[in-house]
Amino acid sequence: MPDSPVTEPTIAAWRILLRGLGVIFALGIFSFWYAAGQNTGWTKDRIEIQQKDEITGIDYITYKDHFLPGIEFLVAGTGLGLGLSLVTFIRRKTKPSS
Amino acid sequence: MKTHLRLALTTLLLTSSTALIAAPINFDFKDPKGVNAVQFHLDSLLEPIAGNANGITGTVSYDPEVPATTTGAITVASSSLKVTNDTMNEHLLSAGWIDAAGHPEITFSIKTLANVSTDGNTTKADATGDFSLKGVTKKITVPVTITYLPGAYGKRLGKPELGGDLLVVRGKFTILRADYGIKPGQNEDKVSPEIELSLALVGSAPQS
Repeated sequence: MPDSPVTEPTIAAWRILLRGLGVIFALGIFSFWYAAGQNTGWTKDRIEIQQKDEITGIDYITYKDHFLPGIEFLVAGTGLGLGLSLVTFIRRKTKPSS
Repeated sequence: MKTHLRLALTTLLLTSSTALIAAPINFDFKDPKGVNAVQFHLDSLLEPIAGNANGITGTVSYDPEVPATTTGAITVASSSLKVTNDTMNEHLLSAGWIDAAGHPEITFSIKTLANVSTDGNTTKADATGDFSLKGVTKKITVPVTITYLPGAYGKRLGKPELGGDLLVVRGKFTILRADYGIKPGQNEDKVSPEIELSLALVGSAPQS
C-alpha cells in the first residue's frame, strides 16, 4: 500500500513578503536611529550649536535645521515593522470539512 | 607757589565736578550681533525641556560711577521662544502655556539694586523689579552680575575707532509656572513646576 502523501501546511506568498518587509523596515528604522546618534531623548527638528562672543564672553546658542530621530521615532518605527511581521502569523481557523 | 596751589585746587574742583555731573549711560539691548538670549529649562520626563528666547529689546541706564542707581527694562518677545522640536514649540507658544498670541511680551523692569559690590568694572547685586509673564506681574529679586566694558562697542563690531561702551548683564533665577498661570497644578509629575531662567545679555552704547 503506497504511503499517503503528507501535506505540509503552506505559507502564502504574501505572508512571506509582508513578514520580510516588516523585519527589514524595523531593522532600517533601528539602523537609521543608531547611525543618527542613538538619541534617547525626543526627536529633534533642529540642533543647538554653542557659540561664544569673544568680546563679551557670552555663550549663546544658534540653531541648525537637522532631523535627529528620537526614542519615540525608534519605538513607533520598529513597532510598526515588527507588528507587520507579527500579523502574518495570525491564521484564520479553518473549519474541518464534514 | 600760590599760583601752583590755585591751579591744583582748580583742577581738583573741575575733576570732582565732572565726576558729580557724569550722567548715566543708556544701553540698548537690541544686539546688532543677535547674541542676546534668555535660556529656559524645565525638568521633564525623558529629558528636560530646554530652549531659549532671543527676541530681546530694552534699555538699561547704568552709571559707571554709581552702579547702584541702575534701572531699566528688558523685554522678550514671547514668539521667539524656541525648543528643538517643532511640535513641542507649538505647544509651548499655545494658549495653555505661554500664550504668545495673547501675551506677546515678557518683561523685567529693574527698579532697585541691593547688596551692591563693585570690583573694577564688575558689579554684583540683587536686582529687584517687576517680572511680567502671561499677563501676571510679580515683584522678584534676581542676583545679577553687571560688567561694564568701556570702549568695547566699536571693537566688537571690528571698528575700534567707533568707540562706545558695552554693558553685559548676567543672571540666573527660578520661577514657578503656576504663579504665572502656566498649567497650574497640572502634570507636575511629568513637567517640573519650576522654570529655571538664565540670561546673558549685552547692551550697546555707541559714542554720541
